Amino acid sequence: MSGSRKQAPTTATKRLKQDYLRIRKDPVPYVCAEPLASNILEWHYVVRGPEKTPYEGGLYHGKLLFPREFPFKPPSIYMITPNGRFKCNTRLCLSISDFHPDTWNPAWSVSTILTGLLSFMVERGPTLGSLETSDSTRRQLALQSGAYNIRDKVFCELFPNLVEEIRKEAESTAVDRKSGVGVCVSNGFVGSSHDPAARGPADPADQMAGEGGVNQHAGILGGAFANLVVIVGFAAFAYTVKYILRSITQE
Amino acid sequence: MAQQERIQQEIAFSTPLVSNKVNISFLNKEYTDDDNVYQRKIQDLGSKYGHVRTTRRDGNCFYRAFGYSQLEALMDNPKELQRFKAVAAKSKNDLVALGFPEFTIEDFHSTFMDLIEMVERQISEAELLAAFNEQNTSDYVVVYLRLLTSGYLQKESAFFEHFVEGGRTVKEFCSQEVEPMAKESDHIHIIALAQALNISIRVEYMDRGDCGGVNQHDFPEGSSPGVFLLYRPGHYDILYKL
Repeated sequence: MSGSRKQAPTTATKRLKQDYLRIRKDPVPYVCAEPLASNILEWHYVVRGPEKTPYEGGLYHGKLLFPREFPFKPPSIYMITPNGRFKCNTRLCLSISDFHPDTWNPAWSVSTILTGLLSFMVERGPTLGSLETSDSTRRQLALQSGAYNIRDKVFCELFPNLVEEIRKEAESTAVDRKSGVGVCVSNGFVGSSHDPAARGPADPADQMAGEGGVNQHAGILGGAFANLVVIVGFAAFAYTVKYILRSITQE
Repeated sequence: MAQQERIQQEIAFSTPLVSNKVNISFLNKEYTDDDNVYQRKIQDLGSKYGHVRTTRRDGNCFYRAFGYSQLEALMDNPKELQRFKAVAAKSKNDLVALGFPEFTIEDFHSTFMDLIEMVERQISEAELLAAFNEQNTSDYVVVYLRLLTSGYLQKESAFFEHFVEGGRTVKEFCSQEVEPMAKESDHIHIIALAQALNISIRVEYMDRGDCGGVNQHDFPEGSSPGVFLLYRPGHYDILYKL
């Protein structure tokens, strides 16, 4: 409650501090948010893709930039993690963002903004800054989101718990692979959080390995495994070509 | 849009949110001497009101004018003050019950209650005026009055839906025309706010219509008003009875 006077005006500062305490005390499902220590007007958020949507398992990092006039004027909203729904690092045009100061309600809090963003994300309505992509692309991006996020310095600084979660997830997937439990995708979910992070890029390889019938070789180290997959894939391709050529000549 | 914003900024820095009380003849100066329609209406107004307090033309003038005027009127009416305080205290729960986020409503409500309690502690007129000229306090009161207006419109939506223009629902109307700052107010807003707080407002309408005097309108109809506002197209100021 002490009236600290940094460069941000007191009302905005006071209100954002209160919003922070509230979101801590009464967290919003699927959402977490943290202001920068150096600037209370810049917040970073992470939205967790809800179940039964193409974003399931995804962790979407973005930022809110609050004007000095907050809460009388709305923040601008950005998405940083590739998600297939919104363009990255582009001001999003939502009724809750600064594209629409004429519909902004000063009683809306950071929680309201992020809940609004999430509900708009899982809808399909187009807006300025939205993208048209297939559900499978969105699913793919969801799987890759964790790995993307941990390369972001601000993300790692503000959300150490999530970084931990992503790392653990990556490890547990790697352990599964090493111990030869099989490369079944669903293993990673058991008893842990919903982030499949580092499993993302390996996924298609797992499937190819299954098709090629080389499941039993899965215990080999990652690099060798990938090489093997490529070789088997190429062999399968060569066989296919050979078969086609033969069937053509037979006709 | 940028032009409009710049002009609004210019206005903001040149006039106080709520001005000092000035003689009603101040209005004469706002129109040219040969502007017969307005000069005659100001004369008519002067037969009933002695003073006027102007508010900044920022789209929030109705709420600000009402807020100041209502609290000022409570300064020498302790009984009404207690009644009003009880209504205001309870109003937050009504809004929460309607689905407004308790989270943030709290802030606006407590600022509003703080001001009522200041009046209860018998602060001076100058102190109340200073509070209403402190941008943030003043705007917080405006937000709360907007929320009360919106809440009442939504609570009585079965009645108000007949007065909403443009095929919108009452809820849409509220989120577009009531809750956002700087959205101007019309009859429907005034009726709702007066009823939400169970108070009476008289508005004196002064426009270019050539009908002699000013038209007065009480909200709700037939009530005995404690707050007097002057309406000129697009703007509300505060009036003081002779």
